[in-house]
Amino acid sequence: MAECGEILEGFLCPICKADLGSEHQLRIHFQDEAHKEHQDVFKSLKDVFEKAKKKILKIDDEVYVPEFSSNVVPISEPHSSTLFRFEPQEIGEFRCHTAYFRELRNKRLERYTAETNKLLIRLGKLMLDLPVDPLKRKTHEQAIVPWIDDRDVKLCPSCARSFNMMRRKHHCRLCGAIMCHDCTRFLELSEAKKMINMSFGSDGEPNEGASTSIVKNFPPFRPLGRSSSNNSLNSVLSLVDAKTGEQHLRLCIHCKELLETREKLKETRNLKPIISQFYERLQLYITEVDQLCTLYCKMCQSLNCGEKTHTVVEAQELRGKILTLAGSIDNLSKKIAILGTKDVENPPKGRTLQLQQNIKIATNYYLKDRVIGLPSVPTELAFKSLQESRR
Amino acid sequence: MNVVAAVKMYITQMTEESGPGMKILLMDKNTTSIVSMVYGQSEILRKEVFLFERIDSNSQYDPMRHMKCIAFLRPTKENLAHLERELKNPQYGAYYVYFSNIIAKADIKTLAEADDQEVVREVQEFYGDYLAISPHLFSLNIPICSQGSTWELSHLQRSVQGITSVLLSLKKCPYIRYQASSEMAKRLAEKIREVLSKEESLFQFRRPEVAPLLLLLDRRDDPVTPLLNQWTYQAMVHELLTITNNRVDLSHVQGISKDLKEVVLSAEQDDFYAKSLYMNFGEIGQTIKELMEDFQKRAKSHQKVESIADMKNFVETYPQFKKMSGTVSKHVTVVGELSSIVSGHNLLEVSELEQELACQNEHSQQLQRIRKLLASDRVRHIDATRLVLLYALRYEKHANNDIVGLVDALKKRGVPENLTKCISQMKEYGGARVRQSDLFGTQDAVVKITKRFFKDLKGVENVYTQHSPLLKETLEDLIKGKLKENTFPYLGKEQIRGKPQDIIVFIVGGATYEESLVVHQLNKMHPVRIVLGGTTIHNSSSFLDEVRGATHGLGRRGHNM
Repeated sequence: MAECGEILEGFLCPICKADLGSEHQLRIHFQDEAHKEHQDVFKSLKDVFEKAKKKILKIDDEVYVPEFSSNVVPISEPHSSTLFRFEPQEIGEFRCHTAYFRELRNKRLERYTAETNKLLIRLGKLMLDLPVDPLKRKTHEQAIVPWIDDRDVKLCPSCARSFNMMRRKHHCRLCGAIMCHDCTRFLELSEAKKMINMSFGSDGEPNEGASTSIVKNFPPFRPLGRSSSNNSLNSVLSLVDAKTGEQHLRLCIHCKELLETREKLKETRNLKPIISQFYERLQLYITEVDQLCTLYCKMCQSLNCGEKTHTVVEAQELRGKILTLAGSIDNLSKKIAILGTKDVENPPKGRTLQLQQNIKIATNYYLKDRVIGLPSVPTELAFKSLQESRR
Repeated sequence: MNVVAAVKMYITQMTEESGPGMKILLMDKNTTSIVSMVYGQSEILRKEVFLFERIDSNSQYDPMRHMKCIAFLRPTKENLAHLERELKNPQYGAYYVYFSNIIAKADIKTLAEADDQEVVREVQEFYGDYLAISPHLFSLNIPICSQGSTWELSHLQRSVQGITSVLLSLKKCPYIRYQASSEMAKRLAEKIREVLSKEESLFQFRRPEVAPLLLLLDRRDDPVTPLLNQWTYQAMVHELLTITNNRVDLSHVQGISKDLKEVVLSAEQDDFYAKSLYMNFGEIGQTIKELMEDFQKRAKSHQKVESIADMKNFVETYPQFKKMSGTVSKHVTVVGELSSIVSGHNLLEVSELEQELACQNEHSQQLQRIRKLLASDRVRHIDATRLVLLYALRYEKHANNDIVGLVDALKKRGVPENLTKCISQMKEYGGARVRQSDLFGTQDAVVKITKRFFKDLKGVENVYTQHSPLLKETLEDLIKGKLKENTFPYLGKEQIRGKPQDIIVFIVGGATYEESLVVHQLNKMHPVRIVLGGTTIHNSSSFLDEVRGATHGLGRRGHNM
């Protein structure tokens, strides 16, 4: 593309270079009409694209797989005695809007994601071999993102105020648009580095290997005098920015916001507080106890009928195992209940505390239901007489 | 046709659909009541739902992205606005959104556009938009549904939503009949049919041999039932202590222990209550006594348990007993409270006269007895007023009636004006001019006499439970296929062929627990399934509020003219 002398971006058809506007359009264009002969190329391209998309967007598979299957899960019978007079009843009518909701949401988000991805790609290019020298840096920046001509913009497009000596024009390094100082934000280079690492890395963690390969000659940290824009006065004023001593890219608020939203989302998605880890372990134990209890109950029933399939010792061992596990469950739930309470300055309160305590209460109910009411194993003696009577 | 099970299945489905993990249940004021009617705290904890929050609470918390949020909301404007705001700045990691009724496509769009963080996993309609009190009884918690003699529009809307959600949750697409004399019942019928035809695709259920029937009645046709004192447990508790969403407030009782200030009476979670719901007061006392004696035998104690007071003492002195049957101690307190009200206010005598006023025609003798009770200090103002109300309803057209004299007697007694006014308001609300049915059996004397005769053959009934609500007669006619079409017309031309088996009956202006008992008994006696609903469940005082609301403004208009 570079040899054409112009920068092409967007959803381009790799064969005819037409910008189709969205992924969907591009796919239709490619699949149906234009380039039937290149289907195999398309297929491989599509796979790459899907994979890249997943990586870039950090799409959880779990997020996107619809969970309709659970709709048909049978509902357990209610236990109350008053209900037994009524014939079994299936779940009432319901209507699912999830698909429609997703369709609407995706339409909207597709735009955002495309926009964000474009910015991330540009950011990557900007950071690659970013020159230290202010003049060279400007050329570098403009080579990647063409800047809008100063003369074309009379008012700041964001706040609609006019430009003058005090309100200078600034270019967003990612979209090239002009805005006033108040409507621009700085993106620290260190931040930017993190962002592109995230988007090119293979998983959510900052990938060191990737970072070195992409930002090869990352400029050393030192105060950087900014170059002038088309106007030489700018350079004088921009020195003020340089005083902060941080290196940054000037972005318009819209570009900054898009990038920040993405970052925030990543952060929260990867967050897993201690309570979740504890809770997951608790649930693992509970699943195990459930399985063992089912097995144990069968065993007891068989023993109490005097059958020889299992031995008394076997059942007793299993019972011991269940009780040990139940002990661990009890301990773990107690730990959850007092999680963080030793922190004098910032003890858990309100909802957090209530959550912890309710987990404990629920666990108690579970243990009471499941473990305390377990049938007992007959003694060896009783078992013998049971076998006798069976004969 | 079990409405409790229907709502419960919806809630269960919600908790299961969201998969394993820590969950929070986000609700509005109404859905909070709806859920609490069918699910107990301990039960829902076992479904991994550890926190509950009101969507309108407006409180700022730290986000808990590790939790899944099940949002169960009525599709109101306010709720949608709250949810939209929540999704823009989500506190939780994932949202499973369930609306209790039909939601407009435009609203889904608004929500979808708010979900930039892609936290929503499900958006569904689960039609649990009513309070399921018993398997055959539901309420919409609308305390006063009319404004003058017409619907308050928001209440009409709520009633339409409530009833259609009952139909959807039970998968019934019924024919509709309504009470001809009631403009409100007709209006409701028409609005429901509108929904049925607009949402035709939703109401495509397997057709049974005989189509289900929706019968819409008006409280005005039977203003007597909600005025009577009750003697079966549930009805009595509601009449004397008031049940709100299965909860009874006992905080006014002197020396009540902390954990009994508010008690939950739910047949779902309380076996004793489930068994004694429809028992009469005497039987309950007996049942509790037996339970205690049984315990005594085990505890080898020789304390005598004769009176309710003894029982209370006993429970207090034996903490083990309390532990063994925690619910029983709750019921001992409730029954104790009931019995002190009954004896303190001479309710036995009052009730006996109420029953006779409701069932028998003996003007001069009854008038005398009312006068006598009006003179008694032990009788509460509210009970005195009720006697006069019943008298005024029965003898409205009697040539020698002395309604004016009795109202004067009430005034002399010092009965507050809002109560004495009820007499004329009641005439306006449910007087002879308004009613279509022969509530007191004065016209169709022959039929009534034979009925009475058969009743007498069955033996002397309890004097306190002679009365049976008009609803019983209406439903029995309906079951036999004898309900007259001029008084209960079908909406539209189509008619049911054969005797209906699935019946949903709804009373505009509120149902009562006495009527709930009747439906329970009919369900047992006949091969039918009847579900009863009302804009609310009345006791006498809430009913008088309804009457006041329904006649509010009417008197003034009369004055102006």
